[in-house]
Amino acid sequence: MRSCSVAVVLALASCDGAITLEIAGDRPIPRTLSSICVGIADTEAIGGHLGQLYQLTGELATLPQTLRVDPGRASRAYLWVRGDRGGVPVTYATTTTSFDGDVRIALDRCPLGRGGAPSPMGDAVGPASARLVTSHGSGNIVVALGVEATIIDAAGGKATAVAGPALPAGTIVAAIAVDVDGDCDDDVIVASDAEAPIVWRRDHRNFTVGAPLDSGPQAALAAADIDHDGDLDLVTGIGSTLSLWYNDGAGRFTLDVDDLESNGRVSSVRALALGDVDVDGNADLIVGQSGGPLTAWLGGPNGLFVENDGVVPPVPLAVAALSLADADGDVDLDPDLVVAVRDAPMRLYIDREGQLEDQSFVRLPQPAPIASAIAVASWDAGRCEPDALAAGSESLALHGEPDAFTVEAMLGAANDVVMIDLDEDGDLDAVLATPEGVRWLAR
Amino acid sequence: MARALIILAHAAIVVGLLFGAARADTAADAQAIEKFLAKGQALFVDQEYAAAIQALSPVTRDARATRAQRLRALEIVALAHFIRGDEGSARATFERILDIDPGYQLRDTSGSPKIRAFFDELKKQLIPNYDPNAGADLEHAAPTAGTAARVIELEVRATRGSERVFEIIVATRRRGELAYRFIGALPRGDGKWRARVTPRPSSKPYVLEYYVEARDAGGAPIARIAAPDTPLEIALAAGGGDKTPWYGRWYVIGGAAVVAAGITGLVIVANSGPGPGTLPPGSVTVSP
Repeated sequence: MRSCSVAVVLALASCDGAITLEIAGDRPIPRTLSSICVGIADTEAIGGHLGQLYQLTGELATLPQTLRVDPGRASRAYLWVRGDRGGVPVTYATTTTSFDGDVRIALDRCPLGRGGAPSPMGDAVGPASARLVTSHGSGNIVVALGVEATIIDAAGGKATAVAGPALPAGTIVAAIAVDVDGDCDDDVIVASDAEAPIVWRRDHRNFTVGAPLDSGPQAALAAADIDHDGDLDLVTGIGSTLSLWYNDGAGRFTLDVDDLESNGRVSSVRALALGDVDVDGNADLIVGQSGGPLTAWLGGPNGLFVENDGVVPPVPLAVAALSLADADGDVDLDPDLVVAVRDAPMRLYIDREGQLEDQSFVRLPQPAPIASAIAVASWDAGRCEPDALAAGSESLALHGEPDAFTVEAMLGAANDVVMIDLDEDGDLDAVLATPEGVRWLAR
Repeated sequence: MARALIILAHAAIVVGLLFGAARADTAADAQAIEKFLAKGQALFVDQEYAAAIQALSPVTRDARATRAQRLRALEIVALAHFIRGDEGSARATFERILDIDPGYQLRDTSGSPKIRAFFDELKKQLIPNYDPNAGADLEHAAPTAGTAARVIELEVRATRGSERVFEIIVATRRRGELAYRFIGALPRGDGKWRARVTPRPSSKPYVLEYYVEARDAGGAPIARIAAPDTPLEIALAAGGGDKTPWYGRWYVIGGAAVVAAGITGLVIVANSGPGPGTLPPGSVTVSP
């Protein structure tokens, strides 16, 4: 047994096939990383699946952390980690192992990608002009919601497509990835204009249709651990109504009427984003409308949202989509607001001490891109600054510089874009929804 | 082990230097922007409007500039365009100001009714329900007494015009001092803000003077409670002592951090390997 210990310290496989999974990273804890969800699954669908959320407090308030992983009957396994900040998933890392050596997964503040220009990998697959949702777990996949639901994966350097669950009735208006049952893989919630949002539970690389929310149709969705009980809760919105749904940990959502009230501040909810804007460890809510002003609610430690007029300039915008993600690569990695505006230039609001400041003119190439969807993440081998992809009639790859984005490449027409390590090679890829189908881009 | 401690000590020193460098960079950035602003302002006052636009345009595009600095530069550029008769450029620049702060109020002290009318008309077109008679009213609650070196909380509420308040500043000083220290209050929603002031330690009682100022996104004051010349007072009991305690000195903290990091590193090294990991339950089996 002692000889096995020495072998693992030297980063060799132990004599019984067990390996050590090391989760590392240089993100300050808990300011930029408050919890991690560690998932391990046999690559065979009939094999085991383990998922566990760890709050990075007390003895776990530092990285690296380790876990001994015994393969049992598995010959190969997926290993992945989701990093949360203030209850909001903000970073992912995925790899695979054949149990032939220890594995290190890093949640670094500055994940660099590969050099070279982005280029298409294989042909477009799946439905045309789809809405895209990423799903991390037993392999990274993208769910494309078009005339039908399709699961997009990568194999042999090409994108592949298999049929997904049946779509709900009506037109799909929103969809998000959210781990509803605490197994660390991303389930999907789909909202249509005809039915209540419905949960699609992920099982290995497929989805099964679960229960709908006890509500009418909703126009926008966002998820975060609002009450800090270890599971991801849900905020929905439509018209002048915002609703908070607490998760019981098993994926059953209960409406809470006390902790979030719209108070007449919104009239046409179109998009929602949750992120810890004021860096107090709680998820804050930004609401985008179809022509009304951006509005914000600050989250508290007990789940209570308090409206706040000072967070974001109340400029009326016809919001198409919005997201909170680090866009300026500053040291605290606080979430900046990226807004796709219908038929108008995109907006970029930089988080400065909890206030989102419009720096569109300063940081975006002029004229700013008109986009229907925007993804922000580091995916080149250059500097640490995040890059961006803007999907529109002329989609753009934007390269992040210290103080601004510059145009790196023109990518053709697309209506949606996401970034995910689709082939699990350790580098982010881009996936665009185009009129020809779903296209995978990699460097 | 000695080598590990040396490496950790070096790491601690590098981290310290990096933090120091970052703070120095920030201060240098602010000073550089202020120089541009001062130059542009002087050119504007001298009626060198084209030169003022040229001098200030970099500030409006400089990501290092704070929101207040950018708004100041934009306003001068817009005014310069307007005075030169280039209403198109003036309008575009004013629109950038209103994108950043829909409640922005001109700081222009010329009193020109033409400029104000132009800006107000633009605001009416761009900002729904714009009220030219904007401003804000504040009220606050603060203790009448406290202890030096212990936190004092002040609650401030904007009873009118809260949507125009982007920043609440609490300025404090020890009676007898000329300069104020400024502390930003944190927004609490519903027009409420809270500031946490830690008065300097003192072995003797003293009086803390303060005033509260609400600012718009351009950094311009739009409301005050008391004023620099007529501050309010909080009587403080002695507390904390005048000198930094031994455990607060940088070399003590640094040394402790190095020792703690070394111990942590040794614990991690000792725990790695085929034994249970550090995450509960320590060991898992993928497919039993």
